[in-house]
Amino acid sequence: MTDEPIDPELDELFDLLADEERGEPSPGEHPDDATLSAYHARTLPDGEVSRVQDHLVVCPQCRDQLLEHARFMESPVEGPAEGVSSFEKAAEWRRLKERMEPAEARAPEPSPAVPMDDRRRMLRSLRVFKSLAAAFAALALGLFLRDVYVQKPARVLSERALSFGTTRSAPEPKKIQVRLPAALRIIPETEYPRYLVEIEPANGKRVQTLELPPAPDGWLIELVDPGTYEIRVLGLKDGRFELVGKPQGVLVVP
Amino acid sequence: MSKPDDPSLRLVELIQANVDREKNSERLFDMHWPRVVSYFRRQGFSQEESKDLTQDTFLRVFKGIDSFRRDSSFEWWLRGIAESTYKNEIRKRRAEKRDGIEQSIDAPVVNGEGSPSPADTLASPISDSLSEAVKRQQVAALRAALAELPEQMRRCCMMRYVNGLKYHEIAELMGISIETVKAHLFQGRKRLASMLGTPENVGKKGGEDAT
Repeated sequence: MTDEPIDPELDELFDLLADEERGEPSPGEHPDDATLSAYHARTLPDGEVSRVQDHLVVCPQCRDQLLEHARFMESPVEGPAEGVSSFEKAAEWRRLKERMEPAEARAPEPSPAVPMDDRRRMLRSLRVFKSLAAAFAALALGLFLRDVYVQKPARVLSERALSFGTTRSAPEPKKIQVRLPAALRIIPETEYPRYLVEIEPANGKRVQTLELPPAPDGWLIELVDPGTYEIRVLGLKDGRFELVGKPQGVLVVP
Repeated sequence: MSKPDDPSLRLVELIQANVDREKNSERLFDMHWPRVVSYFRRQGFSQEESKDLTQDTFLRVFKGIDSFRRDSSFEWWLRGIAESTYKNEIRKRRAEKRDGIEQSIDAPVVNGEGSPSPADTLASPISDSLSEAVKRQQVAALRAALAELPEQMRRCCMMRYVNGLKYHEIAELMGISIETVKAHLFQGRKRLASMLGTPENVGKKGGEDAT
């Protein structure tokens, strides 16, 4: 039997007590975050638990903190939050990374202890070093590109083109099938300053993401493992990557 | 004081030690992003606004993660940052509103032509002070009776009847089941009634509110 007894007189007394309590100043020292967090996690020693509970009876702020934290912990962790896909979560991570990088990449202020002429000399030698490094990098990149765009496609037997449009209402694209060794030409139909191409294997393995500049003929991507993949293209707009067309399925057979 | 096998704290530890920092940061983000979006949705923001505020929250998280001392759970720290982001946003919106036309809702309501109500003028100062004294005595007796109750029972009664909390809130705060809360309240009221000499009936008191 857990129904509470009806007693209007007692209720009236409790109301008066509540009025008095409301008039009282807020309780002195609150438990610190570490204590409240441990209380919530049920890892606090018994003596401390009793002290926290006595405090909770008189402290609306700490009660609110704990109740809010309980609601926070009940919220989804792995599952999507109200219609949000894991894809959207990945896009949000990329957006966050972009927001974090400019701050990290900012060069430190030159030291005021170095005289101006010395600093100019240092900058000049730095520029020379940078030019040399850029020349080497260009040479290495040229050799690499030759390898990727000239040599690799030469031994590719089948090449399929995949176009990514902008209309989301277009009919569901059919899954295409390619045979190994295979290459896909990814062609975005809308221009963006930068693109991401995501290749997600259906077997739950890691999603591969390629960050690519615009290319008039699209990009040639070689697939080396058989299996089913979902290909997505994203374009950079207003500082965020948005989906270009619909994701497309590819079946790679040996 | 947090659980030693806490996966979030383990990731934080790796991030602070610069072990595969970006990958582990992404894992931490993946693990908690929906939770933070839900937090802002609960505060009444739209999905898009919630996502922006979640971005701001995680930006602060990753900027400050090296200074997080791991003496509370990561979730506690994260929620604290989300809460502070929420408060900043509210402050910002209020400041923007102040630039527009301000309509005060705190203006005093005047009765008729500004005179006090008849009820105010009829109250006698003598009867007032007498009844006040009686009330004070009764409340003191209730306080004394509450002090006689076992600790948990007293806390449940205070939270329910003085603070107006719901059964499930008391259960959450005290770390006990809702049934135990109800049992404490039932026993508590019975004992208080008997100590104070008030009549008691067993009924459905308090049953109308949702747990």
